[in-house]
Amino acid sequence: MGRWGVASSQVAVCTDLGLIHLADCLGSPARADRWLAEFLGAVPVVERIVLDVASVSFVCPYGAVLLLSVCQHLARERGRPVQLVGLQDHVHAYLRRLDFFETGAGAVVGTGRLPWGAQLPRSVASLNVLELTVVRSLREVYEATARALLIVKTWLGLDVGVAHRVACCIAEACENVIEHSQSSGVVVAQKYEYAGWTEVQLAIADLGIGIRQSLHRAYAGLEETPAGWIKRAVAGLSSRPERGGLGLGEIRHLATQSGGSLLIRSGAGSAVYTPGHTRYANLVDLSGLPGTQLAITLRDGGGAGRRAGVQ
Amino acid sequence: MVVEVGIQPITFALSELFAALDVPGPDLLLRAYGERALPVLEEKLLSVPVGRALVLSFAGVRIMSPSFADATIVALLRGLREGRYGERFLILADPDEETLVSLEGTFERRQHRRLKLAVVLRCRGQDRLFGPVEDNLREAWQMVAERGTLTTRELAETLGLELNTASMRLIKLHGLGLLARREVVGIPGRQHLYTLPK
Repeated sequence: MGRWGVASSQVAVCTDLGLIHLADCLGSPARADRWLAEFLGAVPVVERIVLDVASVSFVCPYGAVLLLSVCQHLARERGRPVQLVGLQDHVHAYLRRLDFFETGAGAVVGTGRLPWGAQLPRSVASLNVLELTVVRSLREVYEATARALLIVKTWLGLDVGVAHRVACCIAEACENVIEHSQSSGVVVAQKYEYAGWTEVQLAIADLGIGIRQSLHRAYAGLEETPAGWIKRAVAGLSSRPERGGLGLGEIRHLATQSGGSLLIRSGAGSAVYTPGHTRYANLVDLSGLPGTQLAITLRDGGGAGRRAGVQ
Repeated sequence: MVVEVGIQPITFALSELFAALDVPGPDLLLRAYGERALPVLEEKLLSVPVGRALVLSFAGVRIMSPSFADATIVALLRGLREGRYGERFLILADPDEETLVSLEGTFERRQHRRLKLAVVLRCRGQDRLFGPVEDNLREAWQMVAERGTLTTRELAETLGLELNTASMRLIKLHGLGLLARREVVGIPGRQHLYTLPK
């Protein structure tokens, strides 16, 4: 045996270092979520974690925030940053375009240099992508919301009212990160064009107390499964019932009405809402990622939002 | 009938909150910003003379989120209803349709529904009611809007109502902050003269 003792087909460990091979698992919210469900139970108890991402060929916004959240969580537990190795050039370039390594400074480092010319062009006010943006303050939430609204309005051809409701939802989801999770969070958005439709994928994540703990403080007598708490939150249960806001239910409504979807993961529970279909799931291993992670997909079926020449 | 002229509205532009909140505008978002804005709005409202209305102008505001509206407009309306700001009134001027949808949703939320919050809207110079107001109250309010002033007796005579019924409707509208009133002494004796908030 060489340097590594192979613990499973994906995980190799030596005394202080664990190497974990990732499959091509970050390309869609559903795949990224499945990966997370399997991944956390398989992380070896060693000081240094190295993620081999050579098989990762595509990263969606939710994949990026999950990867970032996992790295931040592992780095927080171990006091050392997680190392990414084997990055394909285009994946490496995209993560840099998203400011992934800047946002995850101290929690994640990428190895290997990006070849000259592989870097993706960027505009400070891109209408295609909102880089991973940390939201710690109200001002940061306000500015991230304005950028996301611009992307949504530009590409999705939504009714002005719907676009504004989307903006309010983004703002309130980010405000929840600050208020309820007692943590900072990140938000990211990316526009995609397919043959028959355009969609904007948004992802919002934090490593705070999560939905269960937030609601359990207000409803101590209530017992639920992790996914059950998510279901209740989407149905309108709030840790501050005297207050009014849009909440997760409105995000679900807007996303599914557009033909898109909403995925919510919080602790060991997850919920996926698509038009006409809902799925709840609980992890067997309850040592899930802390906090709450959202993947919101908004669609424009007619492609009415396309604008030629927008960079 | 008494005709009143020459009263200038006392207006506060909500867009002035951008500077107070240190945001670039044109949106008023987030509950926490609303909570910061509330004392500014309360100060403006309390600076209005008793019996007068503060007109909140939405010109230059693109989006007011439900949580911001909840922390500001709803809080002010509740405060007025509870008598915390004295005999003063609130008028919302020229919010766009989207903001109205947002406000309607906020008024209709579970925790506010029982209060039946309503407010006077001023759109392009025309006043109208906004919120869940019963039809018979709406009818009485509309008469005040058309005539400028109205007494209980005038309402009773016009609609063929008992004086008590007419009085109750006007008192309710006053209690909801949708009509102003003052006492006048004339030939029929002492009576209340109801007007739209100004």
